Amino acid sequence: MMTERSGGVTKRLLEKLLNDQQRRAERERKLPFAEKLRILDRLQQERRSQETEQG
Amino acid sequence: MAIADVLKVLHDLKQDGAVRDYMIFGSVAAMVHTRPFYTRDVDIGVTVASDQEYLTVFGRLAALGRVDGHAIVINDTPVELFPVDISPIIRDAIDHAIRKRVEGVMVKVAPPEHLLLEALRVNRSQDKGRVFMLDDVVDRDKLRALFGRLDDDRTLRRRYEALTGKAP
Repeated sequence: MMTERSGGVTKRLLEKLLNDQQRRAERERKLPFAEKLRILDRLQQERRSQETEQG
Repeated sequence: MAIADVLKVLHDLKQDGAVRDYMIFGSVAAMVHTRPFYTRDVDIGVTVASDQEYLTVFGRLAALGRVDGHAIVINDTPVELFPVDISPIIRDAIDHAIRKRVEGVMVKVAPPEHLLLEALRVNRSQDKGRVFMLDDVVDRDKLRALFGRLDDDRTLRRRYEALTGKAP
């Protein structure tokens, strides 16, 4: 059972996580297009490797 | 970089006159305006005057890779090539395209407002997420102007309102 104190910690942690996520999203949004394409290249290579492993 | 290689191929085709004009559309274009995310292929709209011209462009690109279904795979990257005239929104987008430089090559990219409208027009379940993603980054005045110009029967506006719970 969550006490008021533990509920407060959880709420603060959640707010921090959400704020961190928002900041990361904003940072990624502002990346140069070329950098975004490099990230996409990497994601596509990873997906292809996974598909190859799964046969 | 595989996708940049595809863009360089298209740039070269345009330089030698094989392609009149082209533009990045779909998920990769959305990524210009939002966070990077996984997508399987690159959608490219090309300006062509006839079906024959489209087939010629398709053939030129196919010669540089391999055909896999509707796509042309170049350096492991599937490219979906389509004429910009398949949609008045895409046709309008190439006239208002944003220019981006990638590895020394200048490419045209569809604006976020056009991408949002096209997502509403196609209206697949996977496009609904894209509407929300793009709604965060569009210019609201440009979006409203686009609804005014390209949504005669207000179908897209109704879809937008149903999805987002607000007017454009």
